[in-house]
Amino acid sequence: MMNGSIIWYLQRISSLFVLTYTIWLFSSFRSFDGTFLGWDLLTSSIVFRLFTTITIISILMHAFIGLWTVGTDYLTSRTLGFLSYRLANYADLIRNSYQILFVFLGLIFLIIVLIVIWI
Amino acid sequence: MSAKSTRPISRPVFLNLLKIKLPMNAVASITHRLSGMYVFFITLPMSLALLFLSKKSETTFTYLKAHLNELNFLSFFVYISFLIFFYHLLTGIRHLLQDLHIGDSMNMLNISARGIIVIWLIALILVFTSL
Repeated sequence: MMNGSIIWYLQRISSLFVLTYTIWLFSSFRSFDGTFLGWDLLTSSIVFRLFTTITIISILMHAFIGLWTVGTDYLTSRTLGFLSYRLANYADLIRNSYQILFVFLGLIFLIIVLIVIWI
Repeated sequence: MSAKSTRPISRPVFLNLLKIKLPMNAVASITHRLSGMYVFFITLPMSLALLFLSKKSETTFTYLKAHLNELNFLSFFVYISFLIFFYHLLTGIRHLLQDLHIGDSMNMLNISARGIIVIWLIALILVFTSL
């Protein structure tokens, strides 16, 4: 599953989606009149709903790869050993807990976005 | 593999990261990672909360609008969080250009890393002076 080149491309392509979305969102704020009705209209449009859904999936993919890379770089017995030898013994436990934490958080974020946008 | 066992067990290591002077390129890289962590654990859930509250009712919408148009603890937190996301975007674009071998000479890398900090500081000033 962790095929290097696929991961590498996923990381970059998802980042382009997030960048495009951010620019698009900013430009759509230009036509936003500042009222609740206008905001409701903007965030209820099918374009906003679809683009936001694609983007949150891109963000989560991007974040998963990034956080996984950071975890396997720094939360190892070698790097944790620089801090303390005791900590180094628990490196695998710490790294796995950290991975479970961000995967769990990511799923929660996804569910919240889908509920807020589509319901 | 036998070469590994002949390596000296204790060799001089200097690992005080606070005393190692990193090149600007390395600073841009590590801060891209740090800002990425911040964006996932703080900016993203904060944005979800803002989206939820702004769509919840007209009362919560006007409350948010009023508070985000002036400088206070909430607006400071919100704008700093978005600015950190903006920093992550800037350093990210720089990394994408590096992947395409644009500006990836050592000289250009240090210039662009400084350039990003300048752009970010200008954005920071623009955001907080417009409140």
